[in-house]
Amino acid sequence: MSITDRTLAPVAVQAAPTGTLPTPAEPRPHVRAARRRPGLRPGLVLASAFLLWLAAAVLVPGLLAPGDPYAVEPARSFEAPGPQAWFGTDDSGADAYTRIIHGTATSLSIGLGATAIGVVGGTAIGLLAGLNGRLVEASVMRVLDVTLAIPEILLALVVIGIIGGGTGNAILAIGAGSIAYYARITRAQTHLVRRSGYVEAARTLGLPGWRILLAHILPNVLKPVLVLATIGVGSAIGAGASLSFLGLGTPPPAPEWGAMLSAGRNFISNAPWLITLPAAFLVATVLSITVVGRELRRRSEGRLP
Amino acid sequence: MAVLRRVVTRLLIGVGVLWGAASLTFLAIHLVPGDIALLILGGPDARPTPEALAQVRADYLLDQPFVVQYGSYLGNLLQGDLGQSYRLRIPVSEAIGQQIGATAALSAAAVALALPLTFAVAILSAQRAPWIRGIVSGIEVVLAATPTFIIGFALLIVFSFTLHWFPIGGNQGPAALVLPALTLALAVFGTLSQVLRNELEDVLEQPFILTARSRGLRDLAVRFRHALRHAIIPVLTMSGFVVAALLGGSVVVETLFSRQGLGSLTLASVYNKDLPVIIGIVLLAAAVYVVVNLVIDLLYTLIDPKVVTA
Repeated sequence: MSITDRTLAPVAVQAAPTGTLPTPAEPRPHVRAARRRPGLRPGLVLASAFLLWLAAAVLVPGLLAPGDPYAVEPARSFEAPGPQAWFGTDDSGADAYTRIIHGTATSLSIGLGATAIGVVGGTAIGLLAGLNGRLVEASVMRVLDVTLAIPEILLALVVIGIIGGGTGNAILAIGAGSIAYYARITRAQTHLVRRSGYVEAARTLGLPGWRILLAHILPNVLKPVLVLATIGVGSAIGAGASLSFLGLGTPPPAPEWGAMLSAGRNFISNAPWLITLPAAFLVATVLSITVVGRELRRRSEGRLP
Repeated sequence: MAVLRRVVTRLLIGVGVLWGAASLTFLAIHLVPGDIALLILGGPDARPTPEALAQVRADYLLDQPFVVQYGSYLGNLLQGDLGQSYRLRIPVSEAIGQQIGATAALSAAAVALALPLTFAVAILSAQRAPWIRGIVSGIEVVLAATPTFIIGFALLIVFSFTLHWFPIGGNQGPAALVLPALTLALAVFGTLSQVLRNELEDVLEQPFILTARSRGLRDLAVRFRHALRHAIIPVLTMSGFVVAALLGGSVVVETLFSRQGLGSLTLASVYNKDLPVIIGIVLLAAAVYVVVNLVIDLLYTLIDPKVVTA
């Protein structure tokens, strides 16, 4: 690269007349703009549309797939995807498309339920740490440090090892594994909010402590936590499917995506569609939630801890 | 001297983390209702005699107060005794020792694949044309969002069932290691590459990069010798978590590829409520985390000498 490169010129000009050190050059505007909008607009639209469609699959699964997800028809086992069965049939002849649609509610509720547990538990612990004295805060933070040392999936497995498997326990296990994450965010945000002018004003007005907490601190702490929780729902759905795949979440023959993938594993060579199609659904779901969640985070940038 | 003091502090914190992890799991297991003596004798279906139950309670100090149990547990831990597996009837350290080699090889192979891939892709794609960044960041987001076992399924279907390049599973030979390691590596790459590329995009806009370019350095040399050193710290921090989390990822990958190792031991222990083995693996995960972060901490001081004095 030669010295006459156009990117060099502005700095040289800028530095000379003032006689001071050159201030950091303003980033080239087109670069900044390109980075802030990573060309995900069509992706965002697609993701939102897919999520709306999933919501329909949760609310009115019978409308999208009129069949019975538990209906077996041994004569039609391992039919490849076609006009008769869009997504093919499994070993017992059950229609894979119907099962995927009817399984949406279970798979999504694992993600939403686990995130709810993580947010509620994390917010409570984070507020406890952020609003109390240094001793309480330090002890809570040290315990959270310890949970950081253990991978989330291993934490979930420990919980299941103690209380056993199943859909409800899987929700509890994944939720418990994510509490530390939300507690950290809440604590950081609480520190910002409690020093803010409006909390100061409320205190000067002599409002009781519980009112300041509920009306002023909690809502402002919760907003960024909920934005990050949106992304968390996606990974919790993935974790739920992983646990079902390991045989610790939703047990078969319930039509849950992870359980379907676990069952389909035995027929991967003669009926790969039993893997590819539920997997595609799972990935599309997690990805859509991630894309929408990142957009929410981007819009609230600067207001997050 | 400063480095030494730093190492000692970190080690002490590490010991604290291990003690905390041991106490938390011990507490969780003892707070949950359920008869541990019954578990030791094989679960509710085993129908042991009252004498056998009483014997086990006495042997495992289950009839003692909580504090006594906790004290004896910590005392044993200090001597390196992790207890006896309920299911395998061998010491936990032996059960873990039998499996640790396979998982260590898997994790090492995954790291050996993931780090060069991350650095190559991030360094070559940062601050390039928008369409290159669009494609690369798209791939990263997809890989980071996709659950690990789905990545494994995709590799299995393409490389084992369609192309027949690699075996579908097992522990035999290096060929069987390729797909499981690649599965973990791709998951790690998706996360790390996003961090590194974002950092590089910022660093490459700094004035000292212009200075380097004005000295006539070629583009690649600028990226490797000047930009990388400034962008690498957040990536190192992140790799600490990611590498320690490989133990968690191995549970899924070893199941999918029917491999022996710590992951399948964890899963079998969870199925059978083999609590001492579960605690042992949690402690191992915490120990790996402590050691990996100690190493990374030392790397900070090599990369940025200011860290020690700060």
